[in-house]
Amino acid sequence: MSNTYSSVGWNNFKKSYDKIMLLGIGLIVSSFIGLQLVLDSNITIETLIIRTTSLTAVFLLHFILIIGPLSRINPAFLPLLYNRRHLGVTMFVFAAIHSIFCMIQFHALGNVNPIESIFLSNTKYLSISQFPFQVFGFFAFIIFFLMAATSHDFWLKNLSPKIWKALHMMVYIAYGLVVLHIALGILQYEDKLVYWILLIVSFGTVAGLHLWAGIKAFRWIRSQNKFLVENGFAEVCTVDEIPTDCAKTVFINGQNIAIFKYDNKLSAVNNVCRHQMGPIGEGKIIDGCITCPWHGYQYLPENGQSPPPFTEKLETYEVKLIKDIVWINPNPKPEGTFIEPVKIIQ
Amino acid sequence: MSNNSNFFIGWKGTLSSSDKKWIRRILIPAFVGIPILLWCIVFFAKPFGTGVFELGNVKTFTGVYYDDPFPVFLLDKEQLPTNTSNSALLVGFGKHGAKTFMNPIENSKGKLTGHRLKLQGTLIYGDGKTLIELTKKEQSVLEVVSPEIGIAQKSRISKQSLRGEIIDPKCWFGVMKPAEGKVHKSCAIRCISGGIPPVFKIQKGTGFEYFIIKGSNGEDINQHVLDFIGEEIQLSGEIYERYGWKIINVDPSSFEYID
Ligand code: HEM
Ligand code: FES
Repeated sequence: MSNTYSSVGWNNFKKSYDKIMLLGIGLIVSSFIGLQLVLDSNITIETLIIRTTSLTAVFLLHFILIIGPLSRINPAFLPLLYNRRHLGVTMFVFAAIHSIFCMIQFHALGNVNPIESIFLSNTKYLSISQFPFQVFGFFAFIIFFLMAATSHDFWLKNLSPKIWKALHMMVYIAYGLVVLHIALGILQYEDKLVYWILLIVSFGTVAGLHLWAGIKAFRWIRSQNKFLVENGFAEVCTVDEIPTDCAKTVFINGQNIAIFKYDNKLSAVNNVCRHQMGPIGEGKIIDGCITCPWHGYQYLPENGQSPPPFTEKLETYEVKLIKDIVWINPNPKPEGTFIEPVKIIQ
Repeated sequence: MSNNSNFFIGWKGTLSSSDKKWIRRILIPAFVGIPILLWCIVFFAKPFGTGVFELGNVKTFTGVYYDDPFPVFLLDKEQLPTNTSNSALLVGFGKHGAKTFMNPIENSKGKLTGHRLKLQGTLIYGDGKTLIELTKKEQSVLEVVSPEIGIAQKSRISKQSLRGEIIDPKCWFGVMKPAEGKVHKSCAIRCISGGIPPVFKIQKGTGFEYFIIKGSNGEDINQHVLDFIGEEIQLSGEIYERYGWKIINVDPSSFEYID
């Protein structure tokens, strides 16, 4: 068993990731403040804070949203994905400063409470150009808050990865709200074409990359429909098509399966990581364990169990080798069931 | 045993040198691009006004207070910045009109209109106009010096139709930037519904002209103009001048949106 397995904690890579992240944020903040003071120093300190924090948050949000599909399209982007959680929490901090400052500046100290003021000062809900854009910002803020508050692995375990993932998929709703907040807010005031171009290009990049990654996944699933099935086993590929210590992934009967080749053996497990549903089949065998490409969770190939003290378990599947053809039984065995690996005879 | 040269595993804490090179290739253009993008964002933004709000700098002023047609303080030869009027429109702390605080003060000290007062507050000035925020709320009036005789004469009345935007003068003349249009609409609605006099801003040449908005009979109509704030509208009414401010008496049902 592996003795190099360690929990996902602090390490040098994580530290340099955070250092580069802080460097990037420092660059955004200092260039914006510097440029603003040089080009138009009549800005008030409050507006400077409001704009610096909102722009930093929006830059980070775009970065966060594109590294997902980028690393699906090209795994070389995976290192950027690894510590995305810190990016997310940092983004929330900036968005929160902007939101709270706006609530105080524009909505507090009046004759109604700030939340009521956000919803009921401007009541032109039926207009597009006059719509109270702060409402979009407010709901985006709530979503970011929930995500940041549940970002720790403690919540991932407690809420179950499915619910956790669903909650964190709400980032797309929040992103849509932020786009509307900008389009119906500041862009109704700053009316230069360049801002619309920036917003449309940014949104187009995020949407386009997701579409691209989605089409790639869809094509793959569609290519998975024509299996020859005999006696409950489906014909997958020749054994040579699976690179050593890597997997071939197949999608049969709604089952997402990764078939690994290692040590002259074959084993198959469910392709969905129990951590954050990462694509296990894009991972590798390292020190005898299947290793998820996203955050490095590990599983033993023959029973789908994480080595102790970890307790994650994957479903396993029966594999057959007839001559050099690999066959798979798409009916899953219960999570963690041991299945004797198939020996490859050369 | 395993060939993991090109496979990244975060918890191992190391990056292969080819990974490092690749990441540099992505991050360096991003780091160069950010300032260029930000330059674009700042450069094309609308310029900010030159108004000033002396936040945190509460001063004592002497002058004469009048409450009609709007709360105003006619300052003595105070140490005002040059090119600022000595006729200061009074506004309350936060998003409140001056009367929110002057009324309770008058309840204890008696009617104050036409009286020489010593008053503390924060100066707001911009575009030649002056305002004083009653930062200390009910503690704003330090001393009632004496009653003053004589009220400023109304100028002749003229009838006019104007096109412009309703703003809240407290934010516009220095407290917030930007203080007009869509981004400021909600805030201005709060300020005006809180009693700060609505002001009609019209374009005049390269600058602006301002009119304090009152009802047809000179009454406050703050609650009737809320739907029109921060948008371009047309209105017509009777214009006159008092205490160095132009005032327009209008019927809010005659307001028209321009789109
Ligand atoms: C309660 C929540 C929020 C309120 C009340 C609010 C309010 C505002 C206001 C009034 C402006 C115009 C400011 C100006 O004059 O420049 C603005 C702009 C902006 N907001 Fe928000 N906002 C909220 C949340 C958010 C969130 C969560 C984001 C996303 C990160 C966001 C992103 C932006 C951006 C990018 C701008 C344009 C740049 C700027 O003017 O600051 N806002 N928001
Ligand atoms: S999804 Fe995080 S390790 Fe697999």
